[in-house]
Formats: sequence, structure tokens, C-alpha cells
Amino acid sequence: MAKVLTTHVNGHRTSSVGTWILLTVSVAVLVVMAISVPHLIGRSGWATGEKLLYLALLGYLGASVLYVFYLAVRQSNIVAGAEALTRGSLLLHTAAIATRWVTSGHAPLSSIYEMVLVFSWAVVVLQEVAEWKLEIPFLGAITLPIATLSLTLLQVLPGEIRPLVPALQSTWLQIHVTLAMLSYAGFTISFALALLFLIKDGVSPRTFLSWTSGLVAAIYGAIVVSSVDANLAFLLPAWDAEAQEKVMLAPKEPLMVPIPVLGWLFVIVLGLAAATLVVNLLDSYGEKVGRWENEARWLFLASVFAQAAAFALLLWKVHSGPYFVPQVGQTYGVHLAASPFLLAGTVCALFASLAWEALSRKSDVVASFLPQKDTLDGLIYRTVAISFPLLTFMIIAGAYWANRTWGAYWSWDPKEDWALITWLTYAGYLHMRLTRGWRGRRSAYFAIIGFAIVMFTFFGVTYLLPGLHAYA
Amino acid sequence: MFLSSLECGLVLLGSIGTAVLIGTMILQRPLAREGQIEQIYAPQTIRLLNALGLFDVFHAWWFILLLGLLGANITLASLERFPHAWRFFTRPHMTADEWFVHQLPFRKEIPLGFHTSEEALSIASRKLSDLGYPPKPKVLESGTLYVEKHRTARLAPYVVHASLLIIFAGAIVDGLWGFKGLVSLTPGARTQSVEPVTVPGAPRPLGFTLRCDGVGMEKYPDGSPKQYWSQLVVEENGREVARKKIHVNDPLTYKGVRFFQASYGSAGAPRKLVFEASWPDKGGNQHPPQTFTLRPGEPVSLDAEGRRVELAAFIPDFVLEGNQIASRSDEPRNPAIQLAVTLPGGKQAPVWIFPKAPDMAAPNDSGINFQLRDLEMEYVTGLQVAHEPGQNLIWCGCLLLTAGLMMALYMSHVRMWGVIGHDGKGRPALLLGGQPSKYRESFERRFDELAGELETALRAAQPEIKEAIPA
Repeated sequence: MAKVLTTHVNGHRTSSVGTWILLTVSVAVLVVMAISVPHLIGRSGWATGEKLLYLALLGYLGASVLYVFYLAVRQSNIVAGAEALTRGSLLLHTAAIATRWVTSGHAPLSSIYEMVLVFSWAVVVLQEVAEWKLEIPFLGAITLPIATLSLTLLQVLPGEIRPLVPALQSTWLQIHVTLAMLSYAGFTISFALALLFLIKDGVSPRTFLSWTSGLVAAIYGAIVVSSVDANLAFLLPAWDAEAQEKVMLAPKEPLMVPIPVLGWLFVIVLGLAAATLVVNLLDSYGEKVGRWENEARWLFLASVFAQAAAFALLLWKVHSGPYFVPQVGQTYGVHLAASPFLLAGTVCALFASLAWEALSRKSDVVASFLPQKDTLDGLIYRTVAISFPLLTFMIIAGAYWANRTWGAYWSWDPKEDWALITWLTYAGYLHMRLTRGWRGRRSAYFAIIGFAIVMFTFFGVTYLLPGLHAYA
Repeated sequence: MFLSSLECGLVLLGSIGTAVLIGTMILQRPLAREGQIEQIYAPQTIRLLNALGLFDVFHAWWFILLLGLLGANITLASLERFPHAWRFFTRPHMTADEWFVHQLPFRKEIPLGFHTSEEALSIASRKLSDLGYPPKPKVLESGTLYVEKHRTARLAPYVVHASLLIIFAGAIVDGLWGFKGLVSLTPGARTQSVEPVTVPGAPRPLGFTLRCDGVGMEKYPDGSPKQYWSQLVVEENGREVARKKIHVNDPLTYKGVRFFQASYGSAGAPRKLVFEASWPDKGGNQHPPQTFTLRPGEPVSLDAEGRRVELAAFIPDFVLEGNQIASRSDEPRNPAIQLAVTLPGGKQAPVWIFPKAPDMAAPNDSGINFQLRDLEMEYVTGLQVAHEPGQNLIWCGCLLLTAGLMMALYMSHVRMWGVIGHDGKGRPALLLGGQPSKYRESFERRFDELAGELETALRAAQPEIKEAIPA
């Protein structure tokens, strides 16, 4: 610990020039990325409002980066800059939503694209409210990456405006979706508060490293299992550029295009993340705690570089198609819109890893800005206490709408099931909190697990378990 | 009693959550297409999952049992704890003494100054009333300031749990006496029964007659569907008793049975065909072309010589599979029409017509040339039928749940007591104490504010008293 502190102090004294150089380089990298990414993902054009959204994405990304820099430089004008950038981006985001609303003639609540659009907006709005009303600084450092990730996803999700199909022309549906987005955003804030609580509570960077490397290993494990074949070629669904959809061999069986080389990198990332997890667990529970600390850190840093390489190569390879498919003897192009999960997973893993790299040596600094543990703990409960009724009303409104549309208020379809699982989880949390007096870390871990379930209900069910909620 | 404990409830919540999770991970029979399960899972796996009842988790006996146990747990737990809460609610502890106030979590000692106990109590009472916390007058007579707010919050958990039981009850009523069905109608058709969907069995009689007078759809400019509708009429004893044009999201309800617009499509059969026919008459002269409308089952006479035409067969989307005639779909993409033509003298001549692919037609022996001018297909509406006698119970439960959750999460039963006693230095003081049922931090802030206000009020009233004494 003493060693970490000294390096930290020395670093602080000597590095101010270096940090500014780093900041400049990062801004340059961001600008280059901002210009080149639309070409890389094969963007064909911008619909009304989409440019605003892209600018908002860059703003959120920039604000996230500024929060991290604040830890290194610790000049309060950087936080002020981050907050101003967030507000400006929020305005752009709002304008993008309004444009879409006006163009389509209906509230943007009828497809997964529009829901992600509104969800990310609600997250940033709630974060602004929380920072202003509750005086929690640094909340943006966790919510802004989530907003950035959502808006990144929107760059590839099919976002063309479609007229409302008959079943969706209902006020109850709009109430249902609005409540869903608000409660999901509320649970996101409780998740962010739970992470801040754990930092304030002095959970060691070692424990966070286990969680982070576990998350990265899980994401890359899922990708390798589902997308890498026996020859280590990476499989992506063939994309029909004219129809803007996947080429299907049979219902639910898309034609897969093997891309050589790419599979290797994903396997390497999986290996590095898994190795970090194992070494770090040995380090945490071994005879001498801290003996393997450097090895774990180096392995993890290598995995971060491998992730960045895998992500860049993925973008490049997707762009540089078409590829030959031996199965049908033809060449096909690929597009990230066909696998939004892949993009979301890789970006999420990269964000989590970078967040750990940025925060691991600074958690005590972050902790010193944060309010008292009890305050944070109480706020986790209060956000859940607001989001849980919203979740309940969301389920009721959905049941009422389904009853008016199909004559069945509950059909045990996967989305309903997962909403119920979420509801049961938080019902359990409230019982433990109100009658058993659960406080502190247990409560914070519960909020994190609950958030993971909410995200699965939101995205996982839509892409992995299709059902009645085919619109979303 | 384990069944009434919170632990049991949480175990049940966890088990139900796990069962629901399994139900979403394994393809469920009610949601699967025909043969889809056999396609996805290996035969051994199917046998194992079938034996465990995991292909229809949500209707399995053990899942219903889990829900029943949760219902029992909620009921028993509420019954066990309710009398205590009810006593708390109906006979709250109002009078207090110094010792009692000292036990409360939040306390303040407010010096009386020059006031007598009675004066202090009445000043404090007036001030609290002004601030929106009126003390109970009866208790004040016995020397205790007693203030409370939101006593109903004590009942909130019972409201929430009772509402869940009401929702369960509604679901049970629907499970026992409700039904779901499907019926397809073409315009002009009637039905007195519907096909059940949840449980296979004989068609279920409605007890009245449903007639369809028309079906249709509206389209957006880009051709995608905007709205489907059906004109429905209910008849009883041959008399029309109800009529409604239903849309998606807007059903017809009659005697508790609701009819929903579920699907719309081509029935695969034509409603009417318009042909132009021409043929040489006896003298070999070409007869002027004649336009006629053909409907299924209605032969049309072409001329006085006895030429008649009747629709013999209609294949909407013709395809040859081997040497079998088949239809790829119900949409008239490649119609094949067979006409039964009767010639003068009673000779029969079948004629095949392929409007989209004239080369496919066999030689026409009738001597009559047919040109299809118009084709109108018969459309069919698919209606979802539901009888849910428990649904009002469910919506009542939902309303109550809404109210109960708001009470349980946002209302805190706040109580404060004030008695005249002595502070730490033995001087007379108003001892104020308070207790919230939740949200201690915000109560603490409010309590300190109120205590501050009382202190100011007691101090501010002193000069008046001093002036009052000489007078």
C-alpha cells in the first residue's frame, strides 16, 4: 500500500506535462476515431437526427474520458468540463429524439432502436438529477460509459423509421414502454451507486480485478463458443445489403461467413482474461496475498491491448468484406447490424477493463470525493424504492395492453418471464432490506446482480430468447 | 411455523424465479412450432425433459404447487402478523412519560424558560398545529403532546400482500372457468362455437351466434399494414343483439366473451372472377366478346344455345411438386383456374386457365376463349376468443397493489411525543421525542426543524409574558 501511495504521489508531481500530452493524444485519437468509425462500420447515410446522435455519442465518450483524466490531473475545471460536455450532449441527444418523434409522427417507443435511444437518455437525465439534487459527484463516470455503449449500439442497430403495426397503436403500450425505460434507467442509477459504494467501502482493487476479468472472460467465452469454429475462423452472419437483413438458410438459421485470423484474437483475449482471473484468485486466496499481484496486472494489461486489437480488427474485417463462403460457393459481405450483441459485448468488456485500469490505483482518491457510506447505501435503497414500483406498473400496463390486444394478460412469454424474474429479485431485496435490515455490501452486491438481470431482460431476451415481444 | 416465515417466502421466491428461468431457457411446447422441439433436442434429452415436465414448466403440477405454496406463505405470514399490526393501528400508544421519551431514537430537550408547564404545552401545541402537525387534543389533556402522521402506513404490507392474493384468486378463477379459443370467419359466415386453444378438445359452444359481415385492412402509403378490422354481429334466436366493427386493440365483448382481431388473410378461395369470353357461333362467325362474373358454386349461362360455365377448381399459388398439383400459399400469386364448360348438346369440356403463365395451360377443347379480367379473393378474419371471468379481480388486485406499494415504500408512520420533565441539568424542559417507521435520515431533519421551531416559539413568547405580568 505504501509503495502504491509513493508512486502515486511521485506520479502526480512529475507527470503533469506527461498527462497533458496524453490528454492531447487521446483527444486526437478520439477525433480520428470519430471520423473513421462511420466508414468502418459501413454507414451508408445519415437519417435526420442521426448526426446529432453521433455527436452526442462523441460527447458522452469525451466526458467519460475527462472523468478518468480528472483522477490523474485533479483539477476541478476538468470535472466542470465533463459536466458541461455531458449537458451539451444531452441536449443533442434530446434533439435527436425530438427529430425522430416529429419525423415518424409517433413517440419513439416502438422498436429496440428507439427503446435504447430513450433508455440511454433517461439514464443521463436521472444522473443529472442525482448529481444536482443529491450532490453525488462522479456518478457520471459510471453512467456515461453506459450511455456511450448504448449510443454505440445505436450506430449499428437498424434504425429506419417504420410505420406502427396495428398491435402497437395503443396508449397503453406507450405507457408500458415509458415505464420500462424509466425503471431500467432507475436500476442503472442504483447499480452506479452500488459501484460507488463498493469503492467507498474500500473493496480492494484485487477484488474488482476478479470481477472485471471474470466479466471479460465470460463475454469473450460466450463469443468464442457461439462465433468461433473449429478452425478458429470467426463466423458472422451473411448480410444482404439491399434488403438490410441477414441471409437466411432456414427460419432462425442464418448463413454464416467464416472470417479467418479474427477468431485467433478472440481466443487469445479469452485466454488472457481467464489467466488473469486464475492468477488473481490465487493471489487473493493464496498463502501470501499480493505475491502474484504484478503478474495479474500485466496479464490483464495484455488482455486490454488484445481486446483493443480484436475490436479494431473486427471493425476492419467487417468493413473489408465480402468473403467466400465454401458452403454455398458464393461471396457474401457482413455487417455489425446482424450481431449487435458482439459489438455491445466487446465494447462493454473494453470499457470495464479500461475503467479498472483507470481506477485501480486511484480508488482511494475516488473514495475521498464520495459521500458517506451510509448516504450512498440509503440512496441505493431509495433508487430501488423508486424503480421497483415503476417496474410493477410497467408489468401491469403491459398485462393490460396484452389483454386488450390478444385477450390474454399473461402468456409466459420469455420477456414477461424475465420481467417477473427481475420483479422477484427486487422483491426479495426489499424484504431483506425492510424486514431483515440488510445494509452495506450485501445490499450493494444485490443491486449489481439486479442490474445484470435487468440488462438481460432488456437485451438478452430480445436477442437470445425471441417470443411475443417480437417488436422489441 | 416454517410456512409462515420470511425465509420460506424467500426460498419460494427463489424457486419460482429459478423455475421461470428454466422455462425461458428450454423451448416450451405452447410456444414451439410443430416438430420444432424434435428438431432442436436429441431424443434422449426430450425423454428426460418430458419426464421432468420441463417442456411446459408453467402448467406443470409442481409449478402450480410452488405458486400455491407462495400464496399460502403470504396468507399465513399476514394472518400471523396482522393482529399485532391491527392493534397498533386501532389502539396506538399515545400517552408518554419522561422515561418513555428517553427510550425514543430521536430526542430534544427544549427549555421552558419562564413558562409554566401548561403555558409551554399550549404554546407548543399551537405552534405544532401551525406547522401541520396538530397534537391529539384528548392526549393533551393528560399532559402529553402526541403527534402522528400516516398511521395507515402500518397496514401497507398487508395491502400489498392481500392484493397479490387477489391477483392469484383472479388467475385461479380464469384457470377454472375461463377459456381461450380461435375462430376463423369469412364474410357472411356464422358460428356458434370456437376451437379451444389452451386445452385440446371439442369445439366450445358460445351460447349465441356470431356472424361476420365484412373483413378488411387499411394500409400505410408504403403498403405495410395499418389496421385490420372485422364487422361482427351477435345474433340470439335469429335476432341481432349486438354489432361492432372491431380493430386490433379494440375487441367486441358480449356476455363476458371477448372477440379480438388476431389475424387476417386470404382464404385461398376466390370470391368472384370476371371473365371475358368469345366463341364462334353456329354460322362460324365470331360471337361478340361477352363479360360475365363467376362466383363459386353458381353456374353461369353464356348463351341461348346452352353454353354454361362453372368454377371447378381454384389453386391460388400453383406449383407442380413431382406430378402433384399443389399451392405454395393462399395468396393469388400464380392462380390456376379450372372451369367446367358445358357445350351445346350437353358435352362437357374442362378448361384450365393460367392468367400469369398462359403457356402452362392444356389445349382448350371447348372452343371458347376465356380471358380473366378481374379476380377478387375471399378474405378470412382470425378471431381470438377469450372468456376471463377473473380479470376484474385481477385489475382490482393491480390497483390495490399500486396503492399498497406507494404506501409501503413512500409513507412513513411518524410519531412524536412531548412531555414536561427535566433536562440534564435538572431544569424544567419540554422533552420531545420521535420515531419514524422508515426513512430515519429525512425524519431526523424534519424532527430537528420542528424542535428548533418550538424552541424559538417558546423563547419568543417570553417577552409577552413579562409584559403581561406587570399589567
